Amino acid sequence: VEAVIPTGLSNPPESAVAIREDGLLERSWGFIDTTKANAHIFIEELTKLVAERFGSPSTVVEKMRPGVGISDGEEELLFKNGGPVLAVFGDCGTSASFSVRDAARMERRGIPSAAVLSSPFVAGGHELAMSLGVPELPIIEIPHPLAALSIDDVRSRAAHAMDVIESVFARADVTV
Amino acid sequence: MVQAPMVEPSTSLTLSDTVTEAIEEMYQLGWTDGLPVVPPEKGLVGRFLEAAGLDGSHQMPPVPPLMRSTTLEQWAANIVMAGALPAYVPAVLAAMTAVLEPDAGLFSSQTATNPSTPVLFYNGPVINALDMNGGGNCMGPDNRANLTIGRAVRLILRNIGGEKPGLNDPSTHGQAGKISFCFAENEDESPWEPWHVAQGLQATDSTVTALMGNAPQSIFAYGCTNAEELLGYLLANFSARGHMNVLFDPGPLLVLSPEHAHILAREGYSRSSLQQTLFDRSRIEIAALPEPAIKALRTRRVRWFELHGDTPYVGIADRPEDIYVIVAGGAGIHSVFVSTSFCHRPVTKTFDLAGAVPKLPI
Repeated sequence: VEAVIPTGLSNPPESAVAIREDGLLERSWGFIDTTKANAHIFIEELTKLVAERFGSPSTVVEKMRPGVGISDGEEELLFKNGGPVLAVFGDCGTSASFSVRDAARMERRGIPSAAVLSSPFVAGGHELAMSLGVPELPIIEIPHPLAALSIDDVRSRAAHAMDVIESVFARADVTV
Repeated sequence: MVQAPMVEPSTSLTLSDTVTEAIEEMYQLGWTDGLPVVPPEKGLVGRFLEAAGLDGSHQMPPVPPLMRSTTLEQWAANIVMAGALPAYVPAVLAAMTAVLEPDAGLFSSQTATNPSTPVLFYNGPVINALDMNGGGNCMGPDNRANLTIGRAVRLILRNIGGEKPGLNDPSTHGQAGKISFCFAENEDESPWEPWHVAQGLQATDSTVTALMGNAPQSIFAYGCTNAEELLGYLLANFSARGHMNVLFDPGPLLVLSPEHAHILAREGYSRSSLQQTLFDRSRIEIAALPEPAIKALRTRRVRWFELHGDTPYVGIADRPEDIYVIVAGGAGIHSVFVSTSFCHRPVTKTFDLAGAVPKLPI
């Protein structure tokens, strides 16, 4: 029998990720704090490493709660900031999906961005990024869980992730 | 920037003529919720649309999280697959108009680890017209309209919205309601006016109301013979830690059994005075929560603190009217507490049983 396909059509990729220019890492980094437990510790460690490695300052935007996107004002602040943007972190469904949405939103403004997600949410994050027109949005995978870790363990996870974070922002040739 | 090549995609494919084989093929294609589905044969889908007087080429609004481009024919395919009848089409489309309202919070619900899903309840003439169940087992088995309308909505959210377990549906446990969570209010046995009338609509309006609910908690009020005893049971559930409405600001849905509703009404409670009492007396002690939860309360329940100041507790809702009370179920001393998350309010939509295309949000 001829059957109607009930799944709809995926949106085709429509935009490239932002160009990773030389000197990007030396600009002021932007962090989106999802307000999940321990996210601020993770960010604190990353800002310290960013200062140590690149001499760069950081701007942190703290969302009202994990299940909302950044506001227009926060987007503008991060845009004017000029440096790479990291959404940190998604370790549950909505914190992950909104991290991807926030990072994709910044990419579409031309700001190199990435979302930091714990392992169970990475596959869905990639599919969501595709639907948002940024199929190559970098997603930094970190082990799950994070909420019940000690402060030292959170810092260690952040330090471990830093090399990957640096690599997704360091390439000057990333385009779709 | 490289654009994907524009290729006219196919909207149909060939399934086996043997029903059992077609069912297996649909499992392989990833079209099912885990239960067998009816093959959406093109002619059958067309008959559903024709019966409802609808044009299958109508472009439909994007459904989160994946926001794909779809036609009404593809939505109708999911209605067929759910095992629904053509007469149910307007009720399904009306439910979709409700869940797609921004206030319904669908994107968050679709991508959450909590077991949130649209809870749908119907009021008005649609209940008898479609033989919906607001009595015994209204949230359980046996009633075709309840189950397949709810399942059709869920299949649209899954197949078109892309809310698939393991991908964009990371729910920790899920719940049975993520297959179907749809019932009618028991208007005939309620001591109060129906929900939709209380919202300012006419009794003759057919309506669907959607809000994002979690797994239902049965409240077994054994031995309660008066309102005060029953309120004690309800308040103990509302004041417990761990349910969604500690941190999420829409209020809970309380589905009272007719027996419980009549105990309360007999002692003078109206729906609104019951809401007020439940609001006044449900108390969740803030100091009993862990520090990250206390911090989260300050942003997630910001309206509570704006309205009520720096209290040592939070209520189950920010305002009395945010405790949503309906009557459903059959005989028995059980009521149901459904905590909610992500939605900002219940969204109620009227619809035409004759099948005019409901106005869909774009």
